[in-house]
Amino acid sequence: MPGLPPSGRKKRGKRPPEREEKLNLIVCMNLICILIPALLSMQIQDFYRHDVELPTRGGGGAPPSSSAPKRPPFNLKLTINPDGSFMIVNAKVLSTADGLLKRGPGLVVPPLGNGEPDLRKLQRVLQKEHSQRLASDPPDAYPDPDQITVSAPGDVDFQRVASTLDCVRFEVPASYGDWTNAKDMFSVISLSPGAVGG
Amino acid sequence: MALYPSKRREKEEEDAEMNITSLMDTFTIILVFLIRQFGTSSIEPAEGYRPPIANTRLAVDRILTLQVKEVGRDAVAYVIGTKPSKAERKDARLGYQQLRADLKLEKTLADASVTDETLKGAINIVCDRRLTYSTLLEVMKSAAGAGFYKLKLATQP
Repeated sequence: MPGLPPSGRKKRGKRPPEREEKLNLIVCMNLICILIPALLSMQIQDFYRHDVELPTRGGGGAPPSSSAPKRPPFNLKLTINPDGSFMIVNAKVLSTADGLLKRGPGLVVPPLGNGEPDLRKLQRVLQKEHSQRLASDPPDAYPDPDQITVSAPGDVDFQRVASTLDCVRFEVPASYGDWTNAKDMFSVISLSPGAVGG
Repeated sequence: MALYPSKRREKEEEDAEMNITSLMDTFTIILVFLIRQFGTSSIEPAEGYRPPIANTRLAVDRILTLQVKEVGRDAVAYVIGTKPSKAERKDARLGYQQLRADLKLEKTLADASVTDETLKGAINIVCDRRLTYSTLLEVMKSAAGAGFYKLKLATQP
C-alpha cells in the first residue's frame, strides 16, 4: 500500500522544532508522598489475642534472693461452671457483701436470670480483688500479683472461655463498648484442667 | 560589565532541574509493597476455622500460626502455617503426638524467622470457637511439648 502523502501543512515553510514536553511528576510525587504515610498508619488489624500459659509445677528452681517475694502467693483461681456461674477461690477481699454466694471452698458469681453468665459482675469483682488485695504492700512482695488460674469442665466451648478471659485480663473499660484503652488486670493467665478446689 | 549568557549556557540552565525519576521509582516500589501488605493480615484463617469473638485489643504478632478445629470425638484437624491441613485422633495416653511432632519440626524455623527475642517460642493458636476446653488444653500441651511456651490464643473483634 502506498504511503499517504505528507500533509500540505508540512510542506509549507519551516516549523519551529517541537520542544520535548516534560512529564509533570510533581503531582504524582505529592500523591505518593501522601499515600505512603497513610498506608503505613492504616494497618488493618482484624485479629487479636489472649496470652495464656499452662500451669507449672513446683514454681521453678530459682534460688532465694534478697529481692524474692516475702509473702505467700495469692493463688487466685476461677472456675467456669457449665450452669453459667463462676467460682472464685482464694479471694482476699471479696465476700457475700459483693453479691456473691458462698459455696464450697469459694465464692460464686451467679448467672443472670436467663442463665447467661454475668460477665460484667465477674469483671467488677475481679477488679476489686486485684486493686485492693495488695493493701499497702508493693506488688513485688508477692510472687503472683497479676496471676490467676482459670479452669473449666472439659465440655465448655472455647467461645465461653475467650469471653471469660476478656473479663479476667482487663479492668472494666470507661465506656463498656470501647475496650481499646481498657487497663490491664490479671496479665498472667494459666489455663488449668478440671475444676479447682481450695 | 555584565555579560549575557550564551544561548547554550541558557539552555543548560533551563534543563538543569532535579532528576526525580529515580526517586519516583523508589516511591512507586514502596507504594506497591505497602498496598500488597495493606490487604494481608498476620493470620489467614483457613476455611472452617472461626476464632471466638472477644473484646481484647492486644494485637497479634507475625509468628507461626497453628489452626485447630474438632472434626469428631477426640479428633482434630489442624493447619500449621501455610502447610496443608492434617487430621489426628487423640491418643488416650500421649495426646496429639503427630501435632507435637509437626510443631517440633517447625520450631527452629519459627524461631529463626522472628527477630524479636521475646517472640521466640511464641505461637498464635487459632482455635475454632466450638472447640471444647479439654481439646484446647490438649492442643496447648502439644504446643508446649514442641517448645512453644508462649501461647497466644487468637480472637476476632
